[in-house]
Amino acid sequence: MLQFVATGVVFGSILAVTASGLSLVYAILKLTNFAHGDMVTFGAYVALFLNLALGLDVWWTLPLAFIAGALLAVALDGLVWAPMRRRGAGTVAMMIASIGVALALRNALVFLFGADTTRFDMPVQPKVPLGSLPVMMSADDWEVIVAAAVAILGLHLLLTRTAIGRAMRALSDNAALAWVSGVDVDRVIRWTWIVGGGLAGAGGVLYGMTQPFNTNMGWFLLLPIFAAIIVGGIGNPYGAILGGLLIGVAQEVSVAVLPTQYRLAVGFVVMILVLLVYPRGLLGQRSLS
Amino acid sequence: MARPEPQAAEPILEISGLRAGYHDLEILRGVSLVVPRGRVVTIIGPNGAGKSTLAKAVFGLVRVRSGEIRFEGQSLLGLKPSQIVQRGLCYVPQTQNVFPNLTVLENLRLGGTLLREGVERRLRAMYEMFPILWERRHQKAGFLSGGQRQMLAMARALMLEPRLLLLDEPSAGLAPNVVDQVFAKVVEINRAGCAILMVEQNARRALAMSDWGYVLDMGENALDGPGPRLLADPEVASLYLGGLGGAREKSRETPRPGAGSEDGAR
Ligand SMILES: Nc1ncnc2c1ncn2[C@@H]1O[C@H](COP(=O)(O)OP(=O)(O)O)[C@@H](O)[C@H]1O
Ligand SMILES: [Mg+2]
Repeated sequence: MLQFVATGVVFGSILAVTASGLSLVYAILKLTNFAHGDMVTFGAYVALFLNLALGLDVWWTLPLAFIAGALLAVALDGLVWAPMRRRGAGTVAMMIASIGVALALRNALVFLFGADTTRFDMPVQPKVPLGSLPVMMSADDWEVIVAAAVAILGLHLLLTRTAIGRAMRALSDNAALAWVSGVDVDRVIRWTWIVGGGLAGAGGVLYGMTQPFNTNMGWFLLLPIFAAIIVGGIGNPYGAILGGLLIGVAQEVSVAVLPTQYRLAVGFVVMILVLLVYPRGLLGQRSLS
Repeated sequence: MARPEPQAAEPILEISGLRAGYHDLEILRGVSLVVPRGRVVTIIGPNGAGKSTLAKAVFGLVRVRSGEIRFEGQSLLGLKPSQIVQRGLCYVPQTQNVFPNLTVLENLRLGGTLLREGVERRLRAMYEMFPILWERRHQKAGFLSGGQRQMLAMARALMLEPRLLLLDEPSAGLAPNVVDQVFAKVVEINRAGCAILMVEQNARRALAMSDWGYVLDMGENALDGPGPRLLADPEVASLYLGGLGGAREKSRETPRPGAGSEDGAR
């Protein structure tokens, strides 16, 4: 049982990283971005290319996948989202467009890398017991948790300690007031994509370090990511972190008692149970603070 | 009043023939007004007349169809809101005029986003003018009372040391003693040299302290004149101040139903 909790924490950390990025984008742009999962896949494949073709150690691909994810997000904003915002597109139109972006991105990845399941070239590490507990963790498992914690701490410091983070929270709180307070909204949006896309890209690498993957990984990750965001409270990245850990642990622990294929459903059952008690999510107030 | 006729003073803000609205709905149908430098001008008018829309149009939040808005002689049309406040005019919206999830200090820093230097000096000046904000500086703005929130909204807008402050119904929904404080602050801000353009439901109080007043109705100019003279005008009194002597106005000055004392200000 404890072993499942441990596996859940590892998966939950990855969910937390990816979900907090999606939640940040929602908080500031009010965009429900279905392409986020495929941005996660993109990060994993950038790392795969660097790892297999250039022989780079997977750990070194992590910051590079962050940068690649950020660049992709900024490029997509310039190509798709900024023109839609300028024309005053509604949230539903933007959401549907994001499904189109998701499909385009996935097909591009299939075209470039094929649809076969693949994995990073990294040394297999032995699982060692955690003290006297009946829990086996490899060094990579620990490193995934630490990397996720570092990413989340970075996000927290950005939001609370920097001027751009303060402007992000202000924009999420009250966009019109942020405009007339002199906030350079275009700049804040660009940083939002850098952080959100970067976290997606890095999250993809972390996921690939824990298991084999294919070009559909982002699409399947998107379900628990959305569950995590909703559990935590839409538009609150801290809620997304909490929700990610909760959904991750719940899904893995369920494997102890239920057939594996019910895993995803368990995430949604947890989501519904939480919503029955906290209709706006655990930390829900539609805001970044 | 030894002051010269306000209309004779150099204008800081000039709006002429302004048409603006939302989507295909035209709300303002040719509005003109002038705010002389350093003076207080009030706009009154019934609910839905377009007063808030006019304020939003000045700050680039509503698309202007035709007409002109000039600040210190230069057009504001086509500028981004951040470029407009950079010119030296700031805005306190009627509702949602603070960032509720940011602390008081963070709200003030946000107001000073465009300051290159002297942020600390402006913060000190704001705390001096609004001591309550110093006491509450680490509290989230959402937890402030209505009056405190209005003070914060004004301080946030004053961080950039504007030469014109636009206040949209600063006394709405506040308890009478808090209304007094707000008007006292408006006078204080004006004494420091900042011109004021104020939209007010509390028309008697506002016009009495105004150099000039405008009545806006159905998106058009109805009447204008020196504040006290407008107040004494029987037509204004019957049409816009409530014909029953001050009875209706009196009831308007108390908090609106559901506003729940001073916590209702939004
Ligand atoms: N965001 C909006 N979209 C569409 N119509 C609006 C919007 N805001 C206000 N209106 C309409 O514009 C008119 C003028 O509103 P407003 O400027 O707020 O009036 P006032 O401040 O004088 O009470 C009203 O009929 C109102 O319903
Ligand atoms: Mg109004």
